[in-house]
Amino acid sequence: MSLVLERIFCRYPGHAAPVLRGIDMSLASGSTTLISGSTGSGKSTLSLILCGAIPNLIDRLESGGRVVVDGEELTLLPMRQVARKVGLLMQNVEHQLFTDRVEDEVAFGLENMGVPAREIESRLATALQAVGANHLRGRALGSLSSGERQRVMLAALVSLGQSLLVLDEPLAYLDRHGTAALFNALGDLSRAGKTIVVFEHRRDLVRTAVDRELWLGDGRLLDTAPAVPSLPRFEGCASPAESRLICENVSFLRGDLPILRELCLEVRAHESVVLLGDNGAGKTTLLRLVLGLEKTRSGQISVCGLDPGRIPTRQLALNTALVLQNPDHQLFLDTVRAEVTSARTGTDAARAELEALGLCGLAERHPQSLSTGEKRRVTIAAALARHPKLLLLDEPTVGQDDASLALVVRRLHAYVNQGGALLVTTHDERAARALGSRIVLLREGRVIDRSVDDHFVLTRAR
Amino acid sequence: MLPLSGSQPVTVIHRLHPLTKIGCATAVTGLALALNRPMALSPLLAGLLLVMLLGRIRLASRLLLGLLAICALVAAGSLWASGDPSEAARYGLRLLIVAATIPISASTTAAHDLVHGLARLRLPQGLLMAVLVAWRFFPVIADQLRRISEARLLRGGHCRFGAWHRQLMLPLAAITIDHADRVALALEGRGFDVNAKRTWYRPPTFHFRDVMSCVATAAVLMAAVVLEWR
Repeated sequence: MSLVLERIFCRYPGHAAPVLRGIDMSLASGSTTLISGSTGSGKSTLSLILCGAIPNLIDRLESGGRVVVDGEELTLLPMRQVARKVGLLMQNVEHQLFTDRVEDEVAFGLENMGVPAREIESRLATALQAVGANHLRGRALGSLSSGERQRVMLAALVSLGQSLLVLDEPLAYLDRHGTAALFNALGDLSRAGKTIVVFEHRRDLVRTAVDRELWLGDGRLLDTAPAVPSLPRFEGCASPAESRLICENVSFLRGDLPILRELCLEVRAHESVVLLGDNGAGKTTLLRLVLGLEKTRSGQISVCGLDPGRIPTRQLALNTALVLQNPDHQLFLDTVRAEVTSARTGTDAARAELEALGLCGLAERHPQSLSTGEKRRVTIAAALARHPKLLLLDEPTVGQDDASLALVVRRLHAYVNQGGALLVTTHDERAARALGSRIVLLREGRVIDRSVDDHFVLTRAR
Repeated sequence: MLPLSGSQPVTVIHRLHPLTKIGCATAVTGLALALNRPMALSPLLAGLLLVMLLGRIRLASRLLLGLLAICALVAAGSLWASGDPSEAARYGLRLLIVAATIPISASTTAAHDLVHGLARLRLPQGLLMAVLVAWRFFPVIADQLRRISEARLLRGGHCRFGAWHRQLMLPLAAITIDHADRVALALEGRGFDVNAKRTWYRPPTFHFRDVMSCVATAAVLMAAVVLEWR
């Protein structure tokens, strides 16, 4: 067996119940295993134990048990030694990048381990080949897409000769091309004998690329994961009414690069529009233009009858709300309740939103102490409590488990049925189908005429 | 992210050895602080403008305007205090030269190259890695600060004195600490150890262009010195 876990136990300070209660697991060389579980089930904790961060870097926890990789017990080794056996691909790969160029990044770990320069060249060539990233040689990391950067980081890990790769929510920021390329790379690595453990919420997508699926629940690993629940579909009760957002021939350049090209879009009250598109298609840029955070090069935008190019964002925010990709940017106050309550919302509206999004039990917690999925629900609750006429959500599904996602979808359906207008950007096919009364495909800054099934054919064809 | 081949032009200035750039920038800065006549400072400024042209460096208009505004403010303050236009010009030009060398060096030097270059000076490994992490950290934090400010605007936030620390600094602190934790984890996960011997892949080497750059810089410095004491 390549990886053996014995009686892995972990308890956070101040918590009576352990987050992991004696986990036993064995994985064969060349296997790919998906571990999923609800938010707070201990997936991140387990991934940190596997890569040696617990107890090496985070030692204030009560932890125990044995992690054995290729017959060598890692539990007592310093993390630098563990890094020779186990590679961790973090959710946001930006945190792992230290250099500017592809070859330098792959070489970084080898340099740290004192590998001679001549050997580095051959090892980095092999690693880039192994993950299908050879064509990226010579490129600057800044010019790569999220998926390409992730593959470079995979190469950086593979080059160290690690036999176990741990991937923490690797699909979070990937579009369909990145997802398909990642699955291909994982398949190649698995055939080369690497043991791969993937921690991911989006089971519907990952289960096609793994040999085995485990479910982490109540601190234990179970062989049978619950079925992926189907999300409630949008059933509009009223036909779309007045326009809340009109984009007419909107173009936008960043530097010399066209991001949006004569884009036309309309979102009405009682309507939920999902913007689907690959990284760089212009989805987030459009949301920023709508709120006046960027200025259009040409074309007209009207938000609830106002021109975002002419009036301050603060005034637009009276009728409009935007929930950003990273919830940390939007959490300012000391408790969840205070975050959702404001002078404009009142306590009743705040309480209703907390209840609808399953946050009542967290109302007195500090927002920064919550998980990513919980933080995101707090920012959605804060936006909804202000009763915006137009609600913009940028990738709302990242970090949400199935149950949380279902809560969010139900609440957003209610918002639209009550007369709200919703514009959502996402890469997630399941969420798009659940949220959108209309799905719009964006490519290279233009709305394209193509079916959603055709759009996602890349990630299904395996 | 800072200088990137592929997303930015790679010019002769980008290809210079980092120590060449640091050395030339230090010499220009040092002389600018020593010279007194505005006429003598002008070759240094002209030299920097030439480097910007050769390096195809395009400063963001906001940064450029800010820099010019600060220099103008310093010159105006000096004029108000001394009543001497020559002294005002001297202080304004000096500040402009000193401040311009930083973005020129920063925007044409890759972080990894800079650390490689500094490693030749036999600086401690921990310090080098701190430089590498900080080099990438500042643009990240600047970007985070911009996003937090926008998020505050979207919540209808006003820039009330006394609330800024809560509305800007609190989330920024949370993000910064989280970022630092993750970077530490990533560093250890890539096998970094401050006490272990490190090797270098593809360290930058000195070329003829570095010699020519040093000669050209020396010529500009000589011209400035001649104008000062002529």
